[in-house]
Amino acid sequence: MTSDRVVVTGFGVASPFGLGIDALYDGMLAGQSMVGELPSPRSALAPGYGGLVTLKASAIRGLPNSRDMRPGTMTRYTFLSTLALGNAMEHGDCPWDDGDGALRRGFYVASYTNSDRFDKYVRFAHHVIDQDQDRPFINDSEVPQAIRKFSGFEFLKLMNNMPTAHGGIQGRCQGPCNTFLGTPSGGAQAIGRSLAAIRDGLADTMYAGGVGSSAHDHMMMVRATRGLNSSAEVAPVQAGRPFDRGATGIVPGEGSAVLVLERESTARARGAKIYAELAGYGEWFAPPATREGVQPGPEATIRSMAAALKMAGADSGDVDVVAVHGESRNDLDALEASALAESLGSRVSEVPVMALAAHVGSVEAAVGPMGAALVLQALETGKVPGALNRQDPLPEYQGPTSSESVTMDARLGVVSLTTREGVSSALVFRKLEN
Amino acid sequence: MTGSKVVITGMGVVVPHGDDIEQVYQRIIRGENECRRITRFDASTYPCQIGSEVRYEVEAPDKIGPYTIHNEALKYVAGATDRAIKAAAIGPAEGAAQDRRAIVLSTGVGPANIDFLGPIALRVHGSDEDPYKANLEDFYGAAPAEPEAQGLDEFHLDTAAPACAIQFGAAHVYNTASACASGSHAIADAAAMIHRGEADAVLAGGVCTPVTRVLVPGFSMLQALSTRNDDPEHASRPFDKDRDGFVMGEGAAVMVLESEEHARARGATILAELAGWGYSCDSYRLTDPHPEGIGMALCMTRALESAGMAPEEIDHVNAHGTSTAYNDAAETLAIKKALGEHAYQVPVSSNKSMFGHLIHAAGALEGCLSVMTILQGVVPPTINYQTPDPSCDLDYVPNVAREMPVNAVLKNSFGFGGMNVSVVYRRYEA
Repeated sequence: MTSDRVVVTGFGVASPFGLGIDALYDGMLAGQSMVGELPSPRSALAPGYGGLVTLKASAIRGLPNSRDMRPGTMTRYTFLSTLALGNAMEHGDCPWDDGDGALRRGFYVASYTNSDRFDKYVRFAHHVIDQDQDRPFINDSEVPQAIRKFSGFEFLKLMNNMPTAHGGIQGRCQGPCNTFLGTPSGGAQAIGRSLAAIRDGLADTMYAGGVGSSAHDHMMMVRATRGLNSSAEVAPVQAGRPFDRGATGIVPGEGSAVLVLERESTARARGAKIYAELAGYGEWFAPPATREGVQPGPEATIRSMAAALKMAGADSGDVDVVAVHGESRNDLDALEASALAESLGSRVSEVPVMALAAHVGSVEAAVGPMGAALVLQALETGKVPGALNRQDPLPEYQGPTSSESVTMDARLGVVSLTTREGVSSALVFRKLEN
Repeated sequence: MTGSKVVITGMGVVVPHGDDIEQVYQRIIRGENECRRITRFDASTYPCQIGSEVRYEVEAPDKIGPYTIHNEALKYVAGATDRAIKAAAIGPAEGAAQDRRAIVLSTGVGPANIDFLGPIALRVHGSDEDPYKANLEDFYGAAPAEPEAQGLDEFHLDTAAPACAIQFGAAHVYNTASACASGSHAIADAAAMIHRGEADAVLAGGVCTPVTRVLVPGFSMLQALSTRNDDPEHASRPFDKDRDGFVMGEGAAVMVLESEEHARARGATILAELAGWGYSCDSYRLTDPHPEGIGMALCMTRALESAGMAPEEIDHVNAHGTSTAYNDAAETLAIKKALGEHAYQVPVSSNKSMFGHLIHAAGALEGCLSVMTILQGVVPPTINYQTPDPSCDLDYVPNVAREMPVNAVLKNSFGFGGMNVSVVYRRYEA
């Protein structure tokens, strides 16, 4: 166990704005949304729009250890995760290949799922399913032939731990490596568990983050069956409306982010730039009332933020800026807004609230790590983007609604997530005095 | 960090050999095999026709909180959780007490089950040239259909860990995956949370239902599965020279882990201590373990260090032992690297010889059997061991269980993608 602080020495982002935090943050400061019409044939599917990362496979070239990375072996999730990790390693000026250094380095990443080629499975099913008196049945004798439409590697690359496995190779990580699944809080969990891993002495450096890709058929179909997608009748750039009465649902989006976390002594020994301390982490689970619904109240989010602030030795009065989930559905946003109001108390009207969904859509498990990157950039630059598409706020939302960016001396920032799955989480970052 | 001793107070399984861990263990030490021809579907034309299935009616709740327990994986893990909680005699926590409880569960199915795609495929019934594009728009435009919503859930299993959290009364929920290392990974992570003082009690383990029409032929394409179709009971043969791949198995296994103080304060029966754990990543290749077993050895060494134990204190190695050419040879090398000369003295066995590879649940089930080995003093055999392989030259407890005092078991779990976890289970001494 180490008594060192855990610090952030780099952070990488892949977003619809491009590669790197500057592209994303500058776009947000300019009040832009990258939500646009999806390419055909997906444009014909409701809602028909989303925030896509348009970087090509060639974007991996030139990133650290890219010679070991093969985009053909990657799902969309793995590809985006690889981009963010490579970008983080560059941003943190991390060693690419330092021999035994790998022994003290790990990688935790979250991915809601790793299945992005639902079409292939439907095609497969089409070939093996027959119909008997309106009841479908699977003709097993067709399976061996139909399965040949896949390559053997297809099954490997769809395994949920593949973003981590690629990252373990890319980042030269021989310490703890794991994948967190099943909730948009997964990315915050990956960062929180990385904090614990360093404090436990399991690693000196952890790459930690998350990846989301909800703008593909599978996730859109999941949301369609649950009635969660945003309306096709809304203009794409106005579709992501966190905390706004006019929100109609979840906007498909994509993105990824990875932080470089280090023991402070390790970071200082290699002369790394320190952006902030990762000072606290908290979480709380409260099940939704129904499968399609949300938690019965905001307590889980309140508890998770309180736990993170307590670990950081801070209180709500210290919070300068917040990044949230802001799903863009009124039921969950109302809960999240209530939790913010309760947690921030009288300061709720003045603490800027950054919500990615307005700019890039829903990024699933990347929302925590990307939110962390936003908070770190706010601490670094002293600039905070204004609120986008928040003109008619929900009554529960008492935070700022101005679209103007603000300049401030931000010292402490929080990532706070309320999720439909019931897992709330929070991270606290504090700027260090040199 | 409190440095609390981590103890095991309950275990629950729903696996091919049964749903009572003591009976499962008795069958295992008798060398009874559950690897047979697949019955869940007609696999007679498949390259691999062998599986290790749960072939009995599973008792599990129909609904947990908002979650319908609608598929095998959810039934298995809900059933196993129910049994572990009862075995540990620990009720669900409520209110603020939930803060001291957690779930760490590994779930693995992914795009594994095409059965549910039937209704979807029929609705998306395009032409043979393009069965997908044609009417997908209709699908989106239609009202949600519950079977489809449930079917799509199977791609995630995102309800398994939350459902278990409700059963256990936990405020902290982790759903993790490190492929075949997942079950042990979840248990090690749970132990770390308790050791660190974050939690008093954690329910941890894994569930997997990979005996499906997609994954069985799919993993055959990777040449990972045995094709000994005419002799299924001899298909899983870890460390044997004639091994030709693993057998897919299904099931769920979980443990209740507690801090020693918490367990003693409530008068719980302590089954064993979880003394140490170690993680590593090969950082080598996606498909193969490092041929010299470097990552595997590293996590064993780290687990021993974590337990504060010398190699000579390990009485038995419960191997990953998949029955693939690569794994078993690399694991043998790694055991020798980690344990030195003691590797030749310690009995090493692979439970997978009897129930195949439960993938995300494998490490958890084999962990439960490791605890039973300590309690009962009988080391399970590696069955189907007939022809020695020069690259596998340790004592694999061939075919017959061995009675001997066992104080400490080193449990190995290694996953695709090079993720490795080792756990040390030790006899509990107050």
